[in-house]
Amino acid sequence: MKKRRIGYYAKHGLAYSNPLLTQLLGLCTAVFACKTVKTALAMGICTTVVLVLSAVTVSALRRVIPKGARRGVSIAVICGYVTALQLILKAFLPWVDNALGVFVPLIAVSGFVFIYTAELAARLGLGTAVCASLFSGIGYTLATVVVAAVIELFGSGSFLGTKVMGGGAHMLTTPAGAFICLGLLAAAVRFISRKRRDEDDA
Amino acid sequence: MADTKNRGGVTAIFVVFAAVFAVAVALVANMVAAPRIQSNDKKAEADKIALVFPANAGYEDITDHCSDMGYLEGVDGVDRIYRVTSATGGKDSFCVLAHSQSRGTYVETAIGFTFDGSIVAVRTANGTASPKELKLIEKNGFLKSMEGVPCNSDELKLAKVLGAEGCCEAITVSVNNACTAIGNMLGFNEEVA
Repeated sequence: MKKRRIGYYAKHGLAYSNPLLTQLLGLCTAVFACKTVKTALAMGICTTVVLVLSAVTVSALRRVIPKGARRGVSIAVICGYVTALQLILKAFLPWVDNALGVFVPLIAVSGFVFIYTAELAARLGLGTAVCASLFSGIGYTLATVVVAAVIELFGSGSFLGTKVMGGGAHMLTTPAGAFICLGLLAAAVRFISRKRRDEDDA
Repeated sequence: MADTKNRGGVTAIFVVFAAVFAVAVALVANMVAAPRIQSNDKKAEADKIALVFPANAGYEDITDHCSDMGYLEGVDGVDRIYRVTSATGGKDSFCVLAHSQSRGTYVETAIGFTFDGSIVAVRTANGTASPKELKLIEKNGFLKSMEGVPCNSDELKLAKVLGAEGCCEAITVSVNNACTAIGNMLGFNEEVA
């Protein structure tokens, strides 16, 4: 496999192949988490932690795990880490557990985490898998935080829980509003990155 | 054919090993988190009771006892009942934690009763809200109108709660359910007593 630099994974994870904005993975949890910047950040960090740990585990064992067992093993590993994460949140960060609720266990069935673990990390070396999953997780987090900031600001007129302007378009605070914002951001990111990607890859 | 079977067997073994690994990870996390979760639950319980009684009051969970005695039969939405002991050595009081849902809003309510079944306080705490977002009904004059009303009084079968912040219908249902449970316990309702 062609050896790539960290910059390559950073560019692809954050923009060109952003899991949320270009591959439209993990939409369900993202749309819920985009209610406020705090929940978006918490969901992004939780997803990134599970993704990196699962990718490290599966990548470290990639030579031992038969090809046919990759998906089953990945699901089991992801479930283990998600359960652990939920318990840790419940114990040490109960406000995050309360805010995210059922969407923390839903990380276990997130297409984003599963595909990156079972299909990508299972084929890459340890260092590469860590880079790829970490930058993808950061890209996912940034995308949700940006959308959440727009929704919080223009939907409820506040930022990080502090009222900064009166009123706001209530429709933005609904899942449909979050979906529209995500779509617009995805279109913008694709438009900006298409030319640059062609130049970089050339 | 045999080769295929072998590969299937190896795959199954690996998936089982991965499942064992997942359980092991969860168990380790549970060992680390369980004591903290228990203490968090205990604190949350005490915080809810402190909504309607002084924070230093002692309390004992008597939900199972009430359930065994049939006081909760036909009563919906009552989560816990506590016997609250006074710090000054007075008679025991009772605290009922009840929940109800109306128009999609889930409301958890703490209702405090004196030893003779009079309501001393009613407060709501949204189950998913942080402590800062507690909605105190007393702000709106509701507590004042309820104080000292015995739970077997007809006045307590509330038609609606006026001026309460949050979801009025849900609070009404919770208060009525709590009154029924305490009424059963104190023998106000003949069919149970």
